[in-house]
Amino acid sequence: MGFGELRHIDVSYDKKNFILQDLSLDINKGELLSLLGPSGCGKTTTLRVIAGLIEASAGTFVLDGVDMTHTPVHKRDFGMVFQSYALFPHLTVYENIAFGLRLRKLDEATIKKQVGKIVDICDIAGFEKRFPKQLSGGQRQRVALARALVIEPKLLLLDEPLSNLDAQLRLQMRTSIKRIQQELGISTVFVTHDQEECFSISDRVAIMQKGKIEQCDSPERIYSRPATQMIARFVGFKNFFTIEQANQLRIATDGAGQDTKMLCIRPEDIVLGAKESSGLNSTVGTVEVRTYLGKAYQYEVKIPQATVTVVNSEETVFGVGEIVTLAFPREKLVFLSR
Amino acid sequence: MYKHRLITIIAWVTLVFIFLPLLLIVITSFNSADTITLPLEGFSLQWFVKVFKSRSLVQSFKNSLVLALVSSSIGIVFGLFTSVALVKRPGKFSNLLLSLFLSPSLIPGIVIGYVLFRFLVVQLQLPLTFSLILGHLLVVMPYSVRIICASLKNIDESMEEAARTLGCTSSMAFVKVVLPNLRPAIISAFMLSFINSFNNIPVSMYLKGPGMNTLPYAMMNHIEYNYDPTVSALSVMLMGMTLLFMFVMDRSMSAQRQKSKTVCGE
Repeated sequence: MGFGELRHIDVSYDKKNFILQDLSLDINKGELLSLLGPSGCGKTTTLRVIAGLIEASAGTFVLDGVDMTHTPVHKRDFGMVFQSYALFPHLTVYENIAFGLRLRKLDEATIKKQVGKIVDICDIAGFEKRFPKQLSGGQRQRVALARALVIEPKLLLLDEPLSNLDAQLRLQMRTSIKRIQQELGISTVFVTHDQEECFSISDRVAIMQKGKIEQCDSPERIYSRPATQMIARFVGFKNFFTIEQANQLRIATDGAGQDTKMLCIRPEDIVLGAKESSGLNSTVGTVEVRTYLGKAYQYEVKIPQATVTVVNSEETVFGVGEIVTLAFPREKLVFLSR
Repeated sequence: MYKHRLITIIAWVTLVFIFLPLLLIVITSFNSADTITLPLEGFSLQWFVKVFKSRSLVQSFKNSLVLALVSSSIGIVFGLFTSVALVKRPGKFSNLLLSLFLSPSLIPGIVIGYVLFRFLVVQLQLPLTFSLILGHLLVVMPYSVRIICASLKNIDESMEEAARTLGCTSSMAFVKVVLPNLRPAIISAFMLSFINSFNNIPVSMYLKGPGMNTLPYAMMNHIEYNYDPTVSALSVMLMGMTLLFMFVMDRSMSAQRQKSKTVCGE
């Protein structure tokens, strides 16, 4: 049981093409959960369903034990940061941040105190009298974050908040976001298409494709145990073998389950050796291409069934055309059912 | 910087072409002669006095002012709702509808006037004031629709959504967030509407009636029977009014700019 639960959510405009289909997702209390996937995978749609900006055609959304499926946006009390920041250009930074508090009919002194507090946390003190136009991209981002946080939302929703910033600022902002999120202990859903960004700050990552969640796990788990071929490629696996190929290569397949279709291994996990050491879990091949990567060499090794990519940082360097042995450590092999 | 002499000359000629007639009117309006002539006979303000003494001109000025204010205001409200419908709820026929709303500006005024006369005055026998307002509404509405539509399309939709996540209902979000950002568009739409209604002759010509005349038509009437500079004097006052209008607008806008500048300098 999570803090927030999406259950069997469908989103479809014509009942034939589903933007989201039977999507279920748990949001734990105080965690930063990321939705990661290529554009058009439905991650923003999922966020908008949570925010209430889109009504799901089927399914339920429960938060903290309260069914929110049909609660209108303005009664949900969620803070949302938009890709375009969506600051109000006719209001000063102070009034932008105070906007949500004024709607809650708080007295001026309380508003001032709360805005002051959040302005310090988001590091935008001194800019209160400016208009959004007079701020840099990073500052606007912080104002948008402050405006969403000042209402003390039950849930913070971030829709690709960093995509409009340059690379350096993005790095800085993602650390800020993580710091603020931890400081306030607020449950957060973060939408992004940037894998590095996502893995670096998330407690859990839900990888989405074609309106479905492919895997939802901690970044470490996804990195070491991807669930599907797509995710495996995404996190840097380059060598894929079918079960038949693996058997021919005398790779141990005893870890495979009934539905295992493939197994894979990272280039840096294959152990490269001189010709003679051939045994179980290893095979012989010829080096075809060698590229220098700085810390290591990358080899394309031709084995009878396929070409294998190996990254080797050992001192021994192999030349093109050399016969080598490839060993596949059993614990590094990942079995995929899809 | 290299300046081409020919371009300078053309620019000056154009300027003279535009402003010389206006200048002549200004000059002759202060002439004491009772026809529009040059050279000047002497300085006099009698034509200005005469404008205020002419009941038909004063009355028709009031009529035109009220007519322009009322039809422009209704036009703005109408344009606002139309634009919201067209931009926020786009459908298959949105573009067709937009063209339809803009079409009165493409149809010759004389045709609109005639049709409205046949329909509103002859057929339905509506009161003159009412049919004049309807006619002028048709004239000014395309300006509101076009300008407000264009501006509304440029307003980031997520701004409204942000307001809603902060606790606004959709209509509150529109009033608190969208409307303030439409202000420049509404002001310029209002100005254009006002000027077009105030200047309109073809539609008014058909719909006016006994006791209900508009200023441009009264001026035409006056010129037809009198060749004195009264109309010149009136034109000068109208120009002055326009200048004042523009000056006030400019001041209020630059004051706003100034405000944001000082804040920036802090």
